[in-house]
Amino acid sequence: MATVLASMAGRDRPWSHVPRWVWGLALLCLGLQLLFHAHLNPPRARADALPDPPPPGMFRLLTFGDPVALNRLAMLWLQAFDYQSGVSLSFKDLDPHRLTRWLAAIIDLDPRSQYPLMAASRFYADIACEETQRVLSHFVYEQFFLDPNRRWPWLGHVAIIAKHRLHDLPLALNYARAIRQHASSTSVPAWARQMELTFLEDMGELEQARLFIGGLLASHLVNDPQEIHFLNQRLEGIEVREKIQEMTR
Amino acid sequence: MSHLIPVAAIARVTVLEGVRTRLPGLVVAVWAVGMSLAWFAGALAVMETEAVQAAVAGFFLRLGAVLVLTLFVLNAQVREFNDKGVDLVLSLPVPRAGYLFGRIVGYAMIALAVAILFAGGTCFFAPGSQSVLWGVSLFFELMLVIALSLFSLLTFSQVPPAFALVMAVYLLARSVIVLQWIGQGPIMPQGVLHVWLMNRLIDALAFVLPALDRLTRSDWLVYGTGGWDDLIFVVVQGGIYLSLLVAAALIDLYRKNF
Repeated sequence: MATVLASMAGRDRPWSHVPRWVWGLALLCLGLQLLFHAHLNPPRARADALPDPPPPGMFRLLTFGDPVALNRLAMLWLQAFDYQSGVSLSFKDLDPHRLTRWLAAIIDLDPRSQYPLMAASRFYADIACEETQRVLSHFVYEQFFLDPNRRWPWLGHVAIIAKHRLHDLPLALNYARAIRQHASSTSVPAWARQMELTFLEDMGELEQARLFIGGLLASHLVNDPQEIHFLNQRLEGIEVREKIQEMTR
Repeated sequence: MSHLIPVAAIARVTVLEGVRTRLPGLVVAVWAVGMSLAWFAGALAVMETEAVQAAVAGFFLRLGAVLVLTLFVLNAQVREFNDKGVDLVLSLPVPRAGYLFGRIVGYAMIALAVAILFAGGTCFFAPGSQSVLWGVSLFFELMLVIALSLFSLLTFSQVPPAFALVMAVYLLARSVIVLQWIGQGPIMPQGVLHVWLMNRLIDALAFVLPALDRLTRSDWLVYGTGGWDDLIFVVVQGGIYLSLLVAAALIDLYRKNF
């Protein structure tokens, strides 16, 4: 570093060689630029509707041979769409069908990217609008089957939305069942595979819940003693509830 | 008045240099490619044909003009330094500021010709008044790019780093507002230090960069929305930032050892 500085020393003339009027002009212009920017009116608000995505061929052409980069850039653009030209659009104003077409087109550029499904399940499916929630949830459900072992977290999230936001337990059960049946990787945690059980119990389908636990124990998919103990406890609890139900009848 | 004579002479030499280095041919080629692309895109469009043509022509011609003039200015200045043209001029009773002003006036005349030609091209697809506004804005945008090229070349003395700096500043100035919107968006984590710092850094950049996103806008051509407010904005912002860049280039020039 010292060598570099030593070699640079004396390369330029001293600062004092710059005339004062040049310094004055530079400082004046810098001050004017800062003042001008400070008094700049914000850009005129213009809430554009989300356009349709370009056809797949055209979208690929726009990547200039680098679809992974466009995948990320397009996602950033899409997520910024609710906040354009200084106006904050409500997520509810976004057309969910058009949104899913964009997300599908972006996923198509780089199917390994989790970003579009994360956005679909965490941002858009969380919008307080039932139609949007259903459309986005179904989109995540469809996309899940293309890569279940990596996309199960997003389906798990929309299953919870189906239960708590949509209050549609059969739909939540359907999603949870899909995770159990198709996400076969050992990296899928036990709670994700057992979500189905929780929903069955919530629906009062005790017989099915009992069969589910029995099937799970018999399949030897559960090896952890603590987990087996936990499932046995739940099984006993279900049997107690079944007896109470029979008695009340 | 006598001190303007060398400025005019240097400006004339700069224009001559542009004419004799086949710059007009390149500019016309860019114009022809841009117009052909616009007509081709219009032929593909099933609706809003003129809007598609105006948008494609505006985008391509603006970018083409910026690239061509940046490379021309950088190459011309490097040749000037290598051929010791600057040394020769400065050995005469010409102040360094006179030399720089002369070069800038010469480049400005070239930029004016390019802006007139390209704005004329957009007249085919957009109202005349909007094309004029677009052309005036293009001229100021080109002047900013020219001054920035001069400044960066005086700083780095080589084309690759100077070109990289010009393009980085140009693209950042055009897109910094989008970065601000994304940074302030509702889905960005709140109360996180590095996000807060990043947003302040982007705000600071927006303060010192020219608001190029509001210059030479394609929506003027497509929707005809440009007006006097836009013209005033272009002239004031262009004037202030051009002066700032010229002052910065002068500081570098006065410190440079020849």
